[in-house]
Amino acid sequence: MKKRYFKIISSLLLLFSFFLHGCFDLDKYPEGQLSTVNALSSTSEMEKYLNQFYESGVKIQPYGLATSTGIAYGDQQSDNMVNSAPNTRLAGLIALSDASKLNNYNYIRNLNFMIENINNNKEEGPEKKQCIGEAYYFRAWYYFQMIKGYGDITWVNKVLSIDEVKSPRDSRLVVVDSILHDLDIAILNLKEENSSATMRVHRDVARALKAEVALFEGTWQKYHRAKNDPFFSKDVTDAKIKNYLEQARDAAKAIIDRGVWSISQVGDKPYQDLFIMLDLSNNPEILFWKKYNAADNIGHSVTRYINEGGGQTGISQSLVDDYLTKDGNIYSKEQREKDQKIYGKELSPQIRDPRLSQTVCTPGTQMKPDGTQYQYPPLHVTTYHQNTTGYSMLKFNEYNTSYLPTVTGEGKSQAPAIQYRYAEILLIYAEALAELDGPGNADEIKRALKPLRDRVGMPGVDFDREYNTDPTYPFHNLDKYIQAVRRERRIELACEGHRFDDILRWAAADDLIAAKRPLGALFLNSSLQQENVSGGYYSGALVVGKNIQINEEGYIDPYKLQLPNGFGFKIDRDYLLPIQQRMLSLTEGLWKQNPGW
Amino acid sequence: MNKLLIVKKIPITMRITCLLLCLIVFQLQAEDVYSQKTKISLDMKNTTIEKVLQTIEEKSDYHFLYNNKLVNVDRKVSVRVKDATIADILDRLFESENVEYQVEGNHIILLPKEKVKGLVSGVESVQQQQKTITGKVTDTNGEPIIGATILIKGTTQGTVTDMDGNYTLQNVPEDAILQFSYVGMETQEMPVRGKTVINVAMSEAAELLEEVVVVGYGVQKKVNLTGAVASVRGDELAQRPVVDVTQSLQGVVPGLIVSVPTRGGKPGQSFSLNIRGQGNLSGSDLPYVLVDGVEMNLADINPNDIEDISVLKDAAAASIYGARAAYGVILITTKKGEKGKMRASYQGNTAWSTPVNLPVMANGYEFAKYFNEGCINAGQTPQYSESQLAILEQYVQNPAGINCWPVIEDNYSMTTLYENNSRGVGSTDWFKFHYKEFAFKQNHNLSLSGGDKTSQYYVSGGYYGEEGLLEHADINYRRFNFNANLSSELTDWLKFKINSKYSLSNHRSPFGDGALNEGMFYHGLARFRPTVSPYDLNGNFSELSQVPYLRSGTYAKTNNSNSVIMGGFELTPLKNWNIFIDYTYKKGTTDYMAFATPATFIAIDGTTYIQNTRTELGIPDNGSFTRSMAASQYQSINFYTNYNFSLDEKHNFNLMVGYQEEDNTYKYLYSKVFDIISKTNPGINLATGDKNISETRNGWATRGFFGRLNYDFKGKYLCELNGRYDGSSRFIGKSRWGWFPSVSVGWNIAHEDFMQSMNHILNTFKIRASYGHLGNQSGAALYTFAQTMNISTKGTWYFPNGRDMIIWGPGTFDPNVTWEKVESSNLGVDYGLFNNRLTGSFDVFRRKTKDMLGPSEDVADMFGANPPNTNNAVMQSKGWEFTVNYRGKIGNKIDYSVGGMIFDAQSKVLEYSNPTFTNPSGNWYKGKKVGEIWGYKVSGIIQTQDEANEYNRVINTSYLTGIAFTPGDLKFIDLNDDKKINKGENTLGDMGDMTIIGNATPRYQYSLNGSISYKGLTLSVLFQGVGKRDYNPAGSNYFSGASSYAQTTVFKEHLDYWREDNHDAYYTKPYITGAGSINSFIAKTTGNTTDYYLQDASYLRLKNLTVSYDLPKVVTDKIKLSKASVFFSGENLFTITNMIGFFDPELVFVSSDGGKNYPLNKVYSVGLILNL
Repeated sequence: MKKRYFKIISSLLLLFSFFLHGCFDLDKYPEGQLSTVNALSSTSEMEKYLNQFYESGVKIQPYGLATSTGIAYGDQQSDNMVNSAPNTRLAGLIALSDASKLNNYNYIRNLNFMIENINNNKEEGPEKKQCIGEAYYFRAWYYFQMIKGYGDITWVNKVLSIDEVKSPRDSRLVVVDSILHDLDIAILNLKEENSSATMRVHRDVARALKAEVALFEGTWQKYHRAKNDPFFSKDVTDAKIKNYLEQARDAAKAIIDRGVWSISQVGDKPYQDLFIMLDLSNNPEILFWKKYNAADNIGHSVTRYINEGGGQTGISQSLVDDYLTKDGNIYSKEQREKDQKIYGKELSPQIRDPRLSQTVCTPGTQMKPDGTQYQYPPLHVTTYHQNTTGYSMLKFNEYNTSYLPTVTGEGKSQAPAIQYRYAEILLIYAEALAELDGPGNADEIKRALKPLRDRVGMPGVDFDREYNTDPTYPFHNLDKYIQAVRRERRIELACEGHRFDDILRWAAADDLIAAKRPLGALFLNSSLQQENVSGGYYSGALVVGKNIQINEEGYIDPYKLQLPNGFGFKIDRDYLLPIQQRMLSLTEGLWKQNPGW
Repeated sequence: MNKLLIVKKIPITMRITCLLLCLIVFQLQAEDVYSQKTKISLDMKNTTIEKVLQTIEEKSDYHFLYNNKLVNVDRKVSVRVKDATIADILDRLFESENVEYQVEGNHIILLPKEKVKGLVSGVESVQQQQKTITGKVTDTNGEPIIGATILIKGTTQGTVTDMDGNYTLQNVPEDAILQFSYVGMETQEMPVRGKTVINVAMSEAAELLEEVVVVGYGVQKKVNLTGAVASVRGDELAQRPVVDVTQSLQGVVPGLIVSVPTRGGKPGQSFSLNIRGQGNLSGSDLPYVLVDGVEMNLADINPNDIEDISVLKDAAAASIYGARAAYGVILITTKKGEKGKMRASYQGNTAWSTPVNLPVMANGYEFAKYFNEGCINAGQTPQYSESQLAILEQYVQNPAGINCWPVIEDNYSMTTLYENNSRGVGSTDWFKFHYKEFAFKQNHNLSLSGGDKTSQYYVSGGYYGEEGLLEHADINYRRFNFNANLSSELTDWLKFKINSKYSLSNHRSPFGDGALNEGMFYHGLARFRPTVSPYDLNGNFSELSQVPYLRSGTYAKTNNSNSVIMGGFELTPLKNWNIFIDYTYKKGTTDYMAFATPATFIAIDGTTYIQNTRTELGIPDNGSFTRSMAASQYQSINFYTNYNFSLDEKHNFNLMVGYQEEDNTYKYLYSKVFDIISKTNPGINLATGDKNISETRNGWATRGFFGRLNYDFKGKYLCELNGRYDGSSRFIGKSRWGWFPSVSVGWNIAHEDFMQSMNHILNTFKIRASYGHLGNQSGAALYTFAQTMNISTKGTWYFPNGRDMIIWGPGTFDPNVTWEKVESSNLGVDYGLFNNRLTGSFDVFRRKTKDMLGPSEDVADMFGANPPNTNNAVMQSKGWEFTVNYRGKIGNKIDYSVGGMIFDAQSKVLEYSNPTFTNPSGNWYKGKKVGEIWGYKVSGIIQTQDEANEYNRVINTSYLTGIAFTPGDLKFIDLNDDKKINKGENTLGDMGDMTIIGNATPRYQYSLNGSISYKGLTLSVLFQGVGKRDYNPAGSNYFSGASSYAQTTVFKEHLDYWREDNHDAYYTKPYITGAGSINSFIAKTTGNTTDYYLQDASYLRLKNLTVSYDLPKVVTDKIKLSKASVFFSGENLFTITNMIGFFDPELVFVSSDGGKNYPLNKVYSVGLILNL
């Protein structure tokens, strides 16, 4: 019996000892990680948190083929450039099923999270204020993108819980006013800088965005109301419009008045070189820019696709025609038709505003670091080196790069993504002035635009000399001040992705897009056609009606077959994008679909 | 997993490997004839007879043979003798018992008295002049069976076989029938009919009634099981030439769904397992896999070490594991040592694999023609000129003398300029170019086992090596396994055991982080144009061939090592009371290194240059080197105890209670450096560029109390109660603990008295029912009560000091998240007929997951985040399983078996927070069946312009596309007759013209198996299939062929497209244009989901065919082996399916494009088994 007790007792002891020994802790917490508990409690954390918005809250250069989006290809969605496949929005081919999710609300939620937690950070001082300013700046930026795409949206300024999401769309006026208010807070908090060297948003960047937003909304309301289409706010007043334009003017003027920014004069061709300079930190024209470094795999592909003159895209004849002559006159139809017989002559800086030949390739232009020169547009090529119009893009082409993979490498191009440059500020200022009171501000407008003209050796603005009243000129009905400012804007900012926004806010799609077919260079009886013979550049590869289309007058007509009736842009629908149907049902009808969809 | 203690104490040395609990056999070597000669002394008090017998065995050289059902050896006795004969001792031991003994050689057979009497009386009551029969009883392998009973049918006259299996039976009437029986073997009857020698080969009983099945924390007799448990013997799987048992389990266990993993058939890939269909919406419905009681990955287990596998499918079986086992449990028991002389065993095979199915690309000329047509259809300029077409056609016919690289201009052109364009001449099938005919693999295993009465060991080592099928890439997998276990009795009530496993696997490929992008590689294979030669102007591999990248020296290597040590004690303080205590330590490490370096090319002018331009493959300019180390450490303490007792010899109870703790920690360090100084010796320190470092640390812990009560009344009425109370570190506060009970009952109808008359037909008939609750924590985040904020070491923005770190915004979370609660019920029948030759079972089940962590509900975009997962949904799976097996004999020589199973499971959402039923095709909603495919119905291809005009006039298709329909496009049916083709309001009630056209859930999964053997030659086959399943190929350019310029992929099947001279085509008119506008065109053809292109993914596949041959005993004896066999085996030998030719019905579901993946393998192997 003793042995039995011994067994039982020792068994129990053994059991018990395990019981005492075991006990792993059931309470576990995240280790070495940040969590929502007392989030963003230092300025340094705030700064790193804000870094995420420098990923998505900025404009970038396109990574892929010419069909992708980004600064250099942005104008393909406009009358400035022509891709081999018509842009679906311009062509009116967007289907309701293509509507996208409003993903900008994700960034806005993250910004609201930071704004709600600002007081977790007990440090004070300019660094923290800078962070606060950046948060408001980026919130404004994301909302502005949504306003441009969708019109009325819901203004959300806190971290919503799931029960709070069912809210109607706010009038775009409310949203824009809120954006401008955010920017005022940003301007108040951000640091004042004299260059872009901090690579962070600063006070003048916020002012620039404010000027851009205010001008956008002021002109949007003004011109859509004038057309009485479904896109302006019914409760908008003249005073409200004027107020927006004044805010645009004042914000731009505040930047100008600081006197620290100027137009870049760096390089042989300061205009062309500005867009391929790898370091813009101390360039006086650049307020804010994104740097690329392809060796680090942070690059894009613009040069890869355009450095043979193609990229399945081309500059439109409409843009080429809009450049003034060297002496500041309208480029007349007669002279144009004469010059066009010899390919490239119309682009020559001897004849035209030199910005043209720094934007569009002329024969003899250096294309690659090995010295390859541009001869004729690669109209006959069927690859992505094909050119669609006869005018090849030169802006952004890194012809002199020392980093060779740029030339052919996907993701190896490094031309910077300029967010704001001083020229744009001057153009916003000039346009706001012209919209407010052209005659009264005539001198001020001239003064504002003078540096742009000076850089390329063009005479200053002369509203009468430059006034195009030709009935075929789309803006011939506008007053000479507004017309001149709009042209200057188109020329200076050509192929930088501004044009479509401009067309939208000017309600100008009926004049520029709808039922129109973009054209290219003159082919019939020009030197292009003459090269299409045995021994010539194209040696008969181009067969009119087959792989090259031309219109009755002999101009290249890339969409002749694809869009016989021109762009199908519906002017009562396509100024705004469709809202996903799920949004309508998820908000139980509080959200209504955009007009025409 | 431990079998019950009783099993542990059985020293089995009989040549049959039998699982019989009831038979306890002792064996003892001796030279002598009769027990009278040996004299021994004993002094034992209050000891079981069993102990006494053991002691006699030790002191003499005799072995006892007895059946512990017939002979009570548990009785306590006291013996005190000096120099007594064994016969004397036995007489004293059994004087009051009905036990007699017989001595046969050095065996002493104990039998109940009646039996012996019969035997003896048979001898004595010689009346008639009758004959003497002699013979030998063996098993099917020719091994003698010792102690088999031979009876003259209808009498009690008989005898038993001696240690050579021989018997002599005298006085047998001429018309007698002899009955040969032995436990675990099928009883045989042989008529005498003039013979004097009758030799019998006995085969194992078809279905062993007394078979035991491993269940959670114990074993149970199969006959007493009340839960849904399937079990598989390990050696049935070990011969297959596959990497691990996940593949060989396919088609073997009813209700176990085995599917191809996302990486396809790559070397070393385990298949994915699921029990009884999709269980929740968060994808955390994996079965809980335990190897010898420790949670492990099946990929780390050598299939040769597996003794058996139990699959616990319902709550009754699984709820002892509570919150870890909501979606079933797979229990693996590995082999253990057995008492006796050392046994050595070798098993190995060498095999050759080849892709099951590769697409055949159109040749260069066909491609160009197709491409041109697609461009023209989309209003684009055709890319290939007439002269190019002519050259391509000529090249296809005879490539001799044709320059593949016309229009080459400069060194730049040798690079990517040939991608996505019409330059170049060639006819390359990129699949054929990149895949080998055959790749080699091999597998070798060696095991040693043995032991004495108190200690037994099993030691094994295994090697598995598999080469990849890629011709130009070094992609392979190797695994080493080592396994050792030892158990030892320290005293008669305390046993110690230790079990250790180690596995090391290494995987090498040119793909990985920092190395080549694997997905893009397969993507490129499909989309590169066949019109480009894989060799450049100088005969080197062209850029587009990707070979220079594969051979640049870029690699990614992953080493996984796993070691498990489990040590424990088994205590038996009282009879029938056992205590188990064990501690497990498991350590898993993953050591990863990847070196990426640009490829070297030879330019036109002969100079070499480094290139990294195909950034889609992700190589930095000056190389990068990545190294990461992950370590997980798991510890667990288990102790549990059971006690069984009977009341009145009718009421049998078994009680078990236990406690478990688990703790898991995970650590991960990652570093990646750029600009490598040395290509031959890359290292973290040897880099001049950016250095990125990151780490992760996390952990979880659980604690659980569990218990089980089994009760049966005379083995007829069975009842089992299970319960577990579990706590998890993932939850906080009141959400932390959960209680998971289950109950199950069974009724062995065949055991009822009123069924006795049926006993000759119906041997087994049992009804089972179970109901219970389980929990699931694995879908929940590790820390549900706080939200972490992720970090990126470097963004893409350059600040003055370079790229900076990013803190990302927090996700959303719900602190009240808790367990998913799974309610499971099962009703089953087991049956066995005709001496249990025909057996099987049928089960129906329902599994309801409540408080399910749904994917976040869809909310309006203003919310600005993915809403948190909450316990907001209910899902139900229902299904059934049926198996049937028949074992038969043709004549005396041919054994055969046929069997099959079929099962089905379907899941449906019962509750989900989508109150408006928005977007039913993409979102979950109440009532949605898992796998539902919404699409348009199509009446066919529009054939004429008139038909198209009429369609455009009547039907508004602007929702789909802005482009008018033309001949060659699909004709979408206006289901709701509103003259528009659209999704309506995109709510369940109004989906416009969309409707449910199919379901991607695999239904009616079945398998058929059969085997036939004749004299050691065995043929076995396994077919496996899915009865019904749909695959939606919409939007995949792999399926559609025509797409945007860069994505067009043309296989032979695509050439059957609609054109004026091919109106009956399968494919619509191809459209090829820029990526920006292609969608407007393919919306009319393959871009939308339609019933027209829905693929029937049902299939039947010959999964395995094995021919094996066991060398006859005469041969093996000569070479001193106990067994030698060779086998030939094939995997995935053929497939029957309705899918379009380039799709594999098993692979298509795991890759987004249905084919851009490593293919499955067909394997031919030859193997060898040698046992010492």
